Amino acid sequence: MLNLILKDILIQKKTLAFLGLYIIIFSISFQHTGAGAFAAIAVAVTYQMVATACGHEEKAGSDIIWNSMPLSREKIVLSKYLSVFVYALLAALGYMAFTLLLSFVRLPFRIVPITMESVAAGLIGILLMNGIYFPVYFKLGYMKARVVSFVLFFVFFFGIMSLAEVVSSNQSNALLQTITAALHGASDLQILFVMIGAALIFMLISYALSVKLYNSREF
Amino acid sequence: MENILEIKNLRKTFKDFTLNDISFSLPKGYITGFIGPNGSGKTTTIKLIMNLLKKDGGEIKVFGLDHIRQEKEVKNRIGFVYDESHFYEELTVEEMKRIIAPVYEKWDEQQFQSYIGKFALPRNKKIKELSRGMKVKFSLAVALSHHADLLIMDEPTSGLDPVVRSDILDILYALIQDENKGVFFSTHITSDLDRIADYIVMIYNGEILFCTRKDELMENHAVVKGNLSLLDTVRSRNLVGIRKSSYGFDALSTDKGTAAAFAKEGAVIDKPTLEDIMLYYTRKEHSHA
Repeated sequence: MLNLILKDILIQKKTLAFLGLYIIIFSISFQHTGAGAFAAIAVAVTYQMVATACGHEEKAGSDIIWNSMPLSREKIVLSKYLSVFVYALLAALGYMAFTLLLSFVRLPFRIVPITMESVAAGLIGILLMNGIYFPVYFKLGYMKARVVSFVLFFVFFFGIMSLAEVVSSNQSNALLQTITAALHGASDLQILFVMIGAALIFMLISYALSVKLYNSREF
Repeated sequence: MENILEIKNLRKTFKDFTLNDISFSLPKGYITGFIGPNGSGKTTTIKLIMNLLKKDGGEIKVFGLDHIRQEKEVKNRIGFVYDESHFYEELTVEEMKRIIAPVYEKWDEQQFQSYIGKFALPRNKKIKELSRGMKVKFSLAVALSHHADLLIMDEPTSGLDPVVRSDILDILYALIQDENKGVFFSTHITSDLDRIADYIVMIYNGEILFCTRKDELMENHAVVKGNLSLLDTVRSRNLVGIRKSSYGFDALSTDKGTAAAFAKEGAVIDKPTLEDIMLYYTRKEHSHA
């Protein structure tokens, strides 16, 4: 399993270097946007890495070799789902490294610090975006799923940035108030944990669906 | 004789092609050539064995085990080489090996390194920088480094120069000295099989035409050439791929008796090559009554 995740990172060594630059540019561009900055960057980085890894699989036609080896299709699917968390971690590490670097070098930028809200919003975005994308990818392959992936990215990139902003700044938001009322006065953070839980359950359902769809694929 | 692979009534239907209830088996300890023109069902059959395609009916047993119910066990004992490499172009030979090795229960690193040395494969070169011959050799090194009992190869030598093809055939020949192993080798380059195959399975239009020992096949078939009048004189149905011209006819006789009968009437009898046999069987047929 770990070797499959490692493979997804190794095949995009070039992308990793590019993503470092990506994080720097986005961090600077979003310095005035507030808590949503990190969430949006995490969603963008994860999207890019998932798309690149899937694109490499399609280019090599590697489904044929993995499915000719003593590997269950469940494992192949699971490795793709787990790799999402690795990419999110890489995005967080990249963002933190850049923040740390700026604390040593005096540059006229202010990087928005990572907050619990932005981590939660980013995680929800990543889970939902990939939870929708993977079943389409495992059913249709990378090329046919490309449009879906592109639309999902834009929806979640801007959607999650807004969610993080709402949670961290606008306490009187009607939507949140309604949810808070439904959860009998739970705090915003508690609500976010509930939402993460819901997103994780969604991811599990998505995984089960992807396994079913991939099991019926022919190569 | 124990079979390493048994296929019974295997069926797969596509929009424009059907693999039509095919059956054949491969004995242990031999190299079996799988021949047929392009589009006749060779790759489909191999993909069905590997469960890359879902069968519509029939049974596939590898090492006496069901290829789906005991898929992991079966695939641990199969080495495969396909016509394309399907490895990630951006990775080096060493990186690709590092990813593949943990997948197999009996990965033999020493064996792999020995093949890499023998094939002169550059460990740190990216796969995209390897020649086609080197890519096939890398596939072969992977296929042979986990103590596979059955090697399945789909057109591995197509597009390779004679020197590399010869190297690969030598390796297969050495491998088969272990009588517990088997090789199933699909190709349309029949000269490779002339050299190393023990058994030949021929498929055409989704049907198995024969599955037999190569020596028997060569012994029983003959190319017959003669005057057109001989086709009326010799009463035999055992001719395939008859081609008529103003100079006479040529055809493939499928039994010794027919060839002898034609020889008696003055026809020219030639020993066929495997390519001749494949061509005559797949030529538009007009069996003579």
